[in-house]
Amino acid sequence: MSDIVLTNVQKNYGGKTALRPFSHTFEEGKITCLMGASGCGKTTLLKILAGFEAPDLGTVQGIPESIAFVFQEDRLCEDFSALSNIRMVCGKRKSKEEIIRHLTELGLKDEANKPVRTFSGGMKRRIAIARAILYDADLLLLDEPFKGLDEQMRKTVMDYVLRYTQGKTVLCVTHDEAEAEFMGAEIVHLAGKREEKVE
Amino acid sequence: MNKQKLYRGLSVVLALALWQVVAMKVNMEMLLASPVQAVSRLWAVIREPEFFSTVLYSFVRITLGFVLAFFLGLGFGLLAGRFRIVEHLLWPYVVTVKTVPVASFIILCLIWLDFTQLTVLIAFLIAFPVIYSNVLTGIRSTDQKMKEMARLYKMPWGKQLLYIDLPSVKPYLLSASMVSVGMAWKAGVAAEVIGIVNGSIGEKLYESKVYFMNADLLCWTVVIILINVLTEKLIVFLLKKIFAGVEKL
Repeated sequence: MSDIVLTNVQKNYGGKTALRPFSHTFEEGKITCLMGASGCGKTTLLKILAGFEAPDLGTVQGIPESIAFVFQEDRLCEDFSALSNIRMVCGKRKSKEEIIRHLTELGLKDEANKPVRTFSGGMKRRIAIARAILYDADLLLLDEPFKGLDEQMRKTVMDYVLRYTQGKTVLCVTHDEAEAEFMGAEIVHLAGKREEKVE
Repeated sequence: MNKQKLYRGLSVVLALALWQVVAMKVNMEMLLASPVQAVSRLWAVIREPEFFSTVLYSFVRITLGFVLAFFLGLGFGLLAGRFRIVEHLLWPYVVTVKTVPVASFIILCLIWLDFTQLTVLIAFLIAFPVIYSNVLTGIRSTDQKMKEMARLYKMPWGKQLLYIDLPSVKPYLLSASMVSVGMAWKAGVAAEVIGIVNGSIGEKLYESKVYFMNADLLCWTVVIILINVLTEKLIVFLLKKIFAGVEKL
């Protein structure tokens, strides 16, 4: 593992700027919060780091082999249980007991075997977070991970994330400065608006 | 009983009444037997010693053809969803089977095959493209964001198939099975009629035509409809059970 170095990374969609030229070094083992106005390219940046999108310009170096992602839309298999959703990505690396312990920490002990489609948005969010944490990746990408959680639960989940990401590189998109402060993260502001036309 | 069921029941009663009135007007059983005559003939046919063996003969062959089509359609559909080359290779066969009239296949099969295999093959040929095409459409409609998630978490193909592809395929497979089992019955019996397959329901229909036994024709038609509906319900029940079992994995 090493630092992740982005040099003049830029992305456009159909002639519109999604991410203005961006350079930064994300230090290995540190938590960084990405902030900025809607449409400035925070999610695009995470997608580039995850390998879902290739930058139009610039270079990305130091991306580790294993990456976990908490997507804005959760991306859970709705017909399957919380337990299955986690096991399907962790395989045999994590025991059932360990998964249940994590779900218990997130207040989901009794929901482990119920199908995800029956859950509220906040519950789905917590399962998506537990899945990413239990995957044990070197790089954790979080796209507005605490959205939709009430104040009390938000603190519980932030504590949980902090506890299990010690020594890992974490990039978290947020609009809330208090969240960034709570997590003791470095804050990086992204500039620019998607509406700007590219020459 | 909800209102929709009540209205449907009433329409069936009305349709039967209309049939009875028309049959009474025609007043010739050879041309159009009444529902009462058809039901009384059905009661007599059920008590004939060869009734169950006749039904079983057609049921086993048509169901076998459908089951083969189901598994091969599902298997090839999943493979074609994964490997484009499989879709391209199968394309000419699927298009041919879809467009060539079933009567042409029946006659070809009568030339090439033993008539005992005819029903199985025709039921298979009719059901296969429906199941295959629907499975492929289901796979193609899989949420690409879920596929992205699976790639990120390095889920093996088997797991992607089980947790992401199969849930997408499920509604398509259920409706394809419901449609194709009915089509398999229609085509299978048509093949038996054309091939005059010994001991089959199709043979009974053929005889009713030759001997102008309209009541027999209608009573065997009722038998086909009933078995078709029961088979359809059974298949949907089994599929839902299987999917429920998979979701508990």
